[in-house]
Amino acid sequence: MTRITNNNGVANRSDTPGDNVFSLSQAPPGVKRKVILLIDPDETTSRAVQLQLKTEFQVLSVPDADRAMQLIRSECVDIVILARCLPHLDCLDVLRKIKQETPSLPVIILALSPSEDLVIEAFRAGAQDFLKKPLVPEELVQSIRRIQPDVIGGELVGKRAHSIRNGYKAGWSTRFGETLTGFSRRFLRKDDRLLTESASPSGRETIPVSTEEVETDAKPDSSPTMVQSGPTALRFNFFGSFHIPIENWVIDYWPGKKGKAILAYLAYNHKRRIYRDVLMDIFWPDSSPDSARNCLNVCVHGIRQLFQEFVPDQQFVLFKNDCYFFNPDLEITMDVEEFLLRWRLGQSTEREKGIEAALGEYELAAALYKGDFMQDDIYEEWTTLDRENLKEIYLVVLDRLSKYYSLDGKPMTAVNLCKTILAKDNCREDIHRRLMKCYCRLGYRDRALRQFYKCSEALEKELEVEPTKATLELFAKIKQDLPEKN
Amino acid sequence: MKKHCVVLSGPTVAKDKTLIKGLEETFLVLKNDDNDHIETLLRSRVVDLVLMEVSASNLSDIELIRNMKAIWRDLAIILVDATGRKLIAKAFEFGVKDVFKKPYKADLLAERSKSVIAALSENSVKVSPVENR
Repeated sequence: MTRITNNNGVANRSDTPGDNVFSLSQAPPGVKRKVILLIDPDETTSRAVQLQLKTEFQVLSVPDADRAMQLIRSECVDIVILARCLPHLDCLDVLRKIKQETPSLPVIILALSPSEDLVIEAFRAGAQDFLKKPLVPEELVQSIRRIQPDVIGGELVGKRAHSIRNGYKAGWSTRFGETLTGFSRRFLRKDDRLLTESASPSGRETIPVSTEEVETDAKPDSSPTMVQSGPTALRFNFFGSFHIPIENWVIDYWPGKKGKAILAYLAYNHKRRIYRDVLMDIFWPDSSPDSARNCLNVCVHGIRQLFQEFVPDQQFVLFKNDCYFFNPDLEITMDVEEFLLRWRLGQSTEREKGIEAALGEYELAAALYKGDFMQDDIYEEWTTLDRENLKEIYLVVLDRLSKYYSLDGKPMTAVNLCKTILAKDNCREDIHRRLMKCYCRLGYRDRALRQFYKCSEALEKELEVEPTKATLELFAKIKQDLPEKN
Repeated sequence: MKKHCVVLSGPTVAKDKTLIKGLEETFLVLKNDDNDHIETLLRSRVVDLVLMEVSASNLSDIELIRNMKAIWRDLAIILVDATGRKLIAKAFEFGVKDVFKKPYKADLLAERSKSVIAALSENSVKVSPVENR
């Protein structure tokens, strides 16, 4: 979830709910803000709380206790709102855990139909207040104000701000994994496990957050104001799920689905500038211009905040002359570009020196293809054409490789490659034949015969046609156990 | 050594012999049948803990707690027979140490009273009869 703020720093819009919620909102300049952590798997409540509190508090929301404890340990949280309906864990246990680790941290309990006993137990365990769902926003605000009377906004304070900045200052681009602090690591996944490192030493600083959607001062061609200590290289991976790898880490949190799509689109087209109107047409074709512009502003703001969490002073997405574009000072690389480069090099090498010399390039190209282009975003129309084109190229690469290996005494390798091709396109009769031949070479006559039937079935089912004469002849030969002609 | 003073305020707790017996072993126990007189009692002597029985959902009793806590900030209060989520939450908000619903277990209530007093002693809290205002 992301928010955009107007010139007064007041949140005015949030985008679609989704994923694990995280948002930053801004208070009026010069006013102190506290960080509220909402632990609630219920998105509706999360959203309601965020909307209600966005102007005065910074609201972090997580669906489970584990992630909540990580944030609490990072000492970035001022108040906790704990919902009773946590998965796999009693909220009182979570409350006790919180109180055990941070006794002074105020906790408000939210519950749908709390018994009196639960209320009493919660207070005994150290809860500061107990509120009933559905949440009445006024009650919540009153409760928070009662617990912390000084919580009427303000600059973003606390160790969170300090730690994020410290992580950056300590060399984000070079030793990212070691210096990034607990808070920001929420966005980072390593081996599918969330990390639990705590924040850096205490301190109080403010995070500079851009508050408005205006043209930046940055000069796209050469920006003397660009902070040089930030990362200068950025990699985007589009094959499989879109993600941004950084050393051993992966950024896989996005500011909403549209935010992710726009980030991917800008990254994919990073060599050119994209008119705002073009983005509005692509991503909000049915919306009015004002609405589309507002939505786009929200998304771009979310994208900037995402990067800002890691490198506060660096500008990644710029806006100038009605165009959005990635900061040209960044060295942006993409797996798609590398894939196409390898493919072209392989082609030219094959033409000049034969397939054997081109194998290396083809192998590299095949290794880069981790999955279809943005496979999680098949409903983003702009991805469809490229997805199909890239898949075609990939299949050609595999075809080249499997053909070579099938003839070069590596039938097992060819079998695997053929199976990969058929998994993408089960009607490739030539590949079925190659697979049958490879099985024969390996001495698996039965598998070769079965492959014919699989081929026939696939052709019948999808195309309603019979296998071609070449396939039938090959089948007959295998059936009669005749030697195969290469 | 001077005994800590506990007031049992309310028609039931003031007559609960098991509770009185459990507390009298350790504390000086004063009985007060009517909550309306509690303030007078608190002004007359040093009290460490009040076990206060409130009528069901009686907000006036809760208001009384607020007034008491406003005057005697360090006074520990345990509420007995509070019913209703809001009332309980209010009571905790006003600073009561614990809430027991009826039928309460006298021995548990006595034990809780002791632990509250022990905590007060550990924190070296001196309950003063002097008004803080």
